[in-house]
Amino acid sequence: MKFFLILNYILLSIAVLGGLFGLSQHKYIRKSFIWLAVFLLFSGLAQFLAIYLGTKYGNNKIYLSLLTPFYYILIYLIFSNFSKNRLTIKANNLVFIIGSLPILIYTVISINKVEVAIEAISIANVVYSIAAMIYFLDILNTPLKFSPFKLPKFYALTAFLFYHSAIFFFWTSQKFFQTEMNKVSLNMVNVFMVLIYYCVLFGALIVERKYNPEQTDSHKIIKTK
Amino acid sequence: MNRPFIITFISGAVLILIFALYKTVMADDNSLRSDFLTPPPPSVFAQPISDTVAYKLFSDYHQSNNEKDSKGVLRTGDKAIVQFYVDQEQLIEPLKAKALALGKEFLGLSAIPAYNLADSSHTLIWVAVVDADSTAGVKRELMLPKSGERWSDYIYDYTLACPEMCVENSNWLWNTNWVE
Repeated sequence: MKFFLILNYILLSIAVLGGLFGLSQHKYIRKSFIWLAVFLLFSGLAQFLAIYLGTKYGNNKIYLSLLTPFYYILIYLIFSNFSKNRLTIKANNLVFIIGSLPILIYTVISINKVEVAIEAISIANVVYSIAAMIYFLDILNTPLKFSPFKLPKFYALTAFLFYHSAIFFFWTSQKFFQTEMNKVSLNMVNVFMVLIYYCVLFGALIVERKYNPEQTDSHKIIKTK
Repeated sequence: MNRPFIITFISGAVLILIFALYKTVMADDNSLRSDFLTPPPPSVFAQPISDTVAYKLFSDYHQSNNEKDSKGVLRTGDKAIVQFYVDQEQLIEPLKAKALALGKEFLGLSAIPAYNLADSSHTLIWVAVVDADSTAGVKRELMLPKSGERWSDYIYDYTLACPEMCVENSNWLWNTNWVE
């Protein structure tokens, strides 16, 4: 379990460092990536506090439930600044608005029951995955002059789609895998998933700093419409 | 960026924050407050006792210094039962496996005194104790079949008891030279 805790501290430190790096470079990165930096910093600090509350008071379920709407709005702010295509933005808004009501309702229900808002988190994961797919479609409709690996948005969307679509299973299966061994295995999977998630998001900020099309002339996106 | 949505959603999130604060700090419901603020007290069911205390409990039950004169109420035929043996492979593992198959966390075993009329012997029947709802702390419950479900693999009868089947050095239980 010590290894598990150390791994947690490492991945949360990566998130905090990524957030601080992004905020320190706010003059050179675009708005969506500034929000991405805020999200990373918020995630890291919020999860550090969650571990502290859990170890000190034995229960952090209300706190964890409370985080869901704040993550949701931060991720919305990241996504809503990813593209200037009106149709993409409309589709993204629609998905987030539809998901918002059940998320708020289930969060209140879970806080009232002193449980982790598994339902709200699961719905949010579906929303993030659909939104990421909408923006991937946006990328596919926008011919690029350069490799997608130099496109910071590509990394961020990959991280969002990879993590939130895969971790949906983790949250929805919480009630089925009740033995201690299965819980540890599942949590280990979650920790590794989060580690990859934060590393790729951190990578997106580095790529944005290096290849931000608004800062360099060499990378221009040609819009078809 | 849809500003009305952001403002409405953040307002909702802030209201939830206030509700969460109320729920954890201001609520009069003491059970909820203690659930958040203090870890639940540990439940201790088993603790070691000294050999002399163990011998006193043992001999007070049998009211004798030897197996032959025992007045123990649990009997097999005309002999007092000295011990029941719980086998890891034959009893604990199958019940653990059953709990695992049902997706329940195995917590322990419940020994239920019973009587077999066929051979006039007392026995113990064993049922696994599992966590009823792992999402809200530990709730111990007997792992019993649901109404209408076939009764298989849930309850074990363990009829082999000493003196009919004794493990090695069982006689040592009657030793009187215990050192405190």
